[in-house]
Amino acid sequence: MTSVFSNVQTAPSIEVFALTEQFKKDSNPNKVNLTVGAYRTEECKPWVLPVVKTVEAQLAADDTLDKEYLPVTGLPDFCASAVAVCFGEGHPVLLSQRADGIQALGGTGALRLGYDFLRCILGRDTIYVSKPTWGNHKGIAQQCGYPNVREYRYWLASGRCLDEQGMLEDLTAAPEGSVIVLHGVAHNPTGCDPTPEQWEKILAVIKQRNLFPLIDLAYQGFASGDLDRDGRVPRLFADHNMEFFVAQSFSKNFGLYNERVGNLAIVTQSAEITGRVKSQVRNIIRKTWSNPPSHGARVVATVLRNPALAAEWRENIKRMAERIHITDQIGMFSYTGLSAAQAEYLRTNYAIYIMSDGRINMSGLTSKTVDRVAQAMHEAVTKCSA
Amino acid sequence: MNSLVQTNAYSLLKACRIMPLASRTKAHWASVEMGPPDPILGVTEAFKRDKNPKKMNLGVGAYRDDTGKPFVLPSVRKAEEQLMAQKLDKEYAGIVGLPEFTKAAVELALGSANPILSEGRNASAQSISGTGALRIGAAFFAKFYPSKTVWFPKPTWGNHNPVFGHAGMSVKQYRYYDPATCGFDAAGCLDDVSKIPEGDVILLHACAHNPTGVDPRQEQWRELCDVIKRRKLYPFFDMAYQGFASGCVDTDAWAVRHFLSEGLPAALCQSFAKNMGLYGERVGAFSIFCDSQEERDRVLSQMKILIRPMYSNPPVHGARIAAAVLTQPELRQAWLSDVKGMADRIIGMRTQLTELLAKEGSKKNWQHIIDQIGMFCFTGLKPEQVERLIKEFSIYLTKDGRISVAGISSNNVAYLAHAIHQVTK
Repeated sequence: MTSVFSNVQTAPSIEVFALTEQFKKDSNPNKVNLTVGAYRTEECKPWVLPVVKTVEAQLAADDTLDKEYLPVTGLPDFCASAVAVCFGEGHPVLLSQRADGIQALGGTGALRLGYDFLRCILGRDTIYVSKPTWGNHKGIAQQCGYPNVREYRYWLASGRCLDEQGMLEDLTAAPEGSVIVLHGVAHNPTGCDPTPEQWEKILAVIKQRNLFPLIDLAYQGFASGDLDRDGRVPRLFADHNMEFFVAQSFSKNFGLYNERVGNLAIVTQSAEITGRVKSQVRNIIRKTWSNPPSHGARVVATVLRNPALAAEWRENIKRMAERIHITDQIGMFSYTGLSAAQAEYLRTNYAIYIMSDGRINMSGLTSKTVDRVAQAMHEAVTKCSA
Repeated sequence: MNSLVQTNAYSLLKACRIMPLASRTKAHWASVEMGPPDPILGVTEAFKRDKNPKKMNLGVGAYRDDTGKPFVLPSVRKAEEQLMAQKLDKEYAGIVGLPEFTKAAVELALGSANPILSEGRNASAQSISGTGALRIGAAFFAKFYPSKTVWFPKPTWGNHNPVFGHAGMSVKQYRYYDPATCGFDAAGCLDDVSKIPEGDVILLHACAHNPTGVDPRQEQWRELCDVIKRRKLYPFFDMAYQGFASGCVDTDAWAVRHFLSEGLPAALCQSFAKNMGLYGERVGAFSIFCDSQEERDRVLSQMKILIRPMYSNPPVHGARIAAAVLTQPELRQAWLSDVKGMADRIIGMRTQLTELLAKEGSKKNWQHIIDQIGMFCFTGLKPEQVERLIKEFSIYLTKDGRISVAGISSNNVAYLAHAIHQVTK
């Protein structure tokens, strides 16, 4: 009898995980992994934030804590703290309750909820992502059934900077009501962000064309070491009375990658509308994962609600941001401009792993490896044509 | 134009520019209705507001100990302490989660000697508890399985329909519960199942059916399996209570193992919310048992494609606890004892309730309370009787007469028996 799954093809492997798998199996003693977007110390080790260790020990010792289900929309203390991090304590959008938060499974989960709501409840059929963008932005759109998944110009290869004109043109031409996925800070993969002046122009077009902004905020604090500086974009949109969503991730800025801590911040014209939107997202959550994991959210909420711990956290973030070298590209990633062939060259000849689009994880570099990597990259560019 | 007219014209112009914008933005949300109220939540909320000191919440979907408190299993606490000492990192788990967890989870379900495991034929992914497993499964079947129709027992868990519907499957029902006996409608079930179009998917509760507590007996499972085999239906198991139902993990997995030993393919959703009390940690697994390792590899690769755009990779805290509990002999023994303890308390409450109803002088047949199994019990109470329980006795349950046996304890079981007798005599 033929299997019912005989027509199931092998799916293409997801590059970042596949490369890391390959890296793990590589026996070259000088191998370097610059692919996956996770922070590494100078010793090239993962780093659990000291403040996280403190709080986890505290939680483990607390016998009054149980393992009951969280509410569907998450731990209330966490959601409130998360939106406060996004907009800054005391921002009018919080006081008026036009903004509210919904706990999600990491930044990906928050994006998924936002995309799902906009597609299924608001009926949006067109979504724009930057060219280039994080691979999963398009993947989520496809899974949610968006008929039109488009790109707006973003990276100007020749100038190694933002393609301002191209971006504004493409946004201006976007059909009214289109969803626009923006990177709040530390654009992934290019590391290149619009300037404040450029953001004003972008916002103006979005307003004028009545596009719906969905801000992906995965690196707040992590990019510059300063939460307020990195939170400028959502605050700008809020100050302009825009309606928008923010998909926040606490993977990087809390180093809580595998506990899947995220928040979907909803901002509408009124508390009442926000309430209705939240209730619909709640419905989507019920059909997707029912309710979110408690551990990571408890850690984040405990830190953020305790002034001393929150201060320690801000110090931890500064430490991480400082280790990552910043030129005029910002945050964890840098777009080297290397081609797929050159990336392959690096892997084969030097056991240096970078993404095939030329993206490198800056924190994967250490003082011990940076020279070798630089030399290898130079060689790849000269010996291997793009 | 004089200045007044100019001002008016200017205001009018400004108003025209603003108005369309406002009405366009109002149109963003105008169609967004308030989401439907949650019936179970409604019960809990009414319960919270009630000032009656004798009040009982029989809508709770989580285990409670004999003092009515949430219960963190001692074996789980121990595992968690151990993990703290290990100082593990927070690196992303793979898309399909912790391999040591999924391996142990599937071994628990199938028994470690099952050839499917040694042959590497299970495509297994760590999931966001049972709901997450259902969601992955529903999405996978909606995309790859030839038939897009899934059949549920009537009734079934309230969230089955939304999960499968959201993923794009159509939903139908087969007879299951017989309100006349408060038991299994074997004839009706077999009749309906024998008429299901060949190749459709059939969802089965592996043990401790939710919401009725009614499980087929082994010989009834055998008959059902034969029909399913004949109709070439695809068995999709939801196992949320392994160990929690009878107190024995092997007994509760009997149906799943029987179907597989009969050579049927199957999908399996596992939850560790109840049997390890890990509710909020969201620990589960989804598996498809394939014909070959080669098929397993293809199926697993496609599962990853579905998971990545949902949440990328799963949370590890709970899975690390579960893996430790399942793989360390001392912890595993302790856990088996903890889970039997929970099951025994539930079974004990069922027995006591039935005995006390008899003592109250009830002439009704309450045998089904003992025959049913797991967290929930379909009492057979009618909506009017439920209404009276709520209003006159502050005993909260859902309109369908379902009670959560976990909400009963030795200090209120007599009160419950008394109240039920009063509204049914």
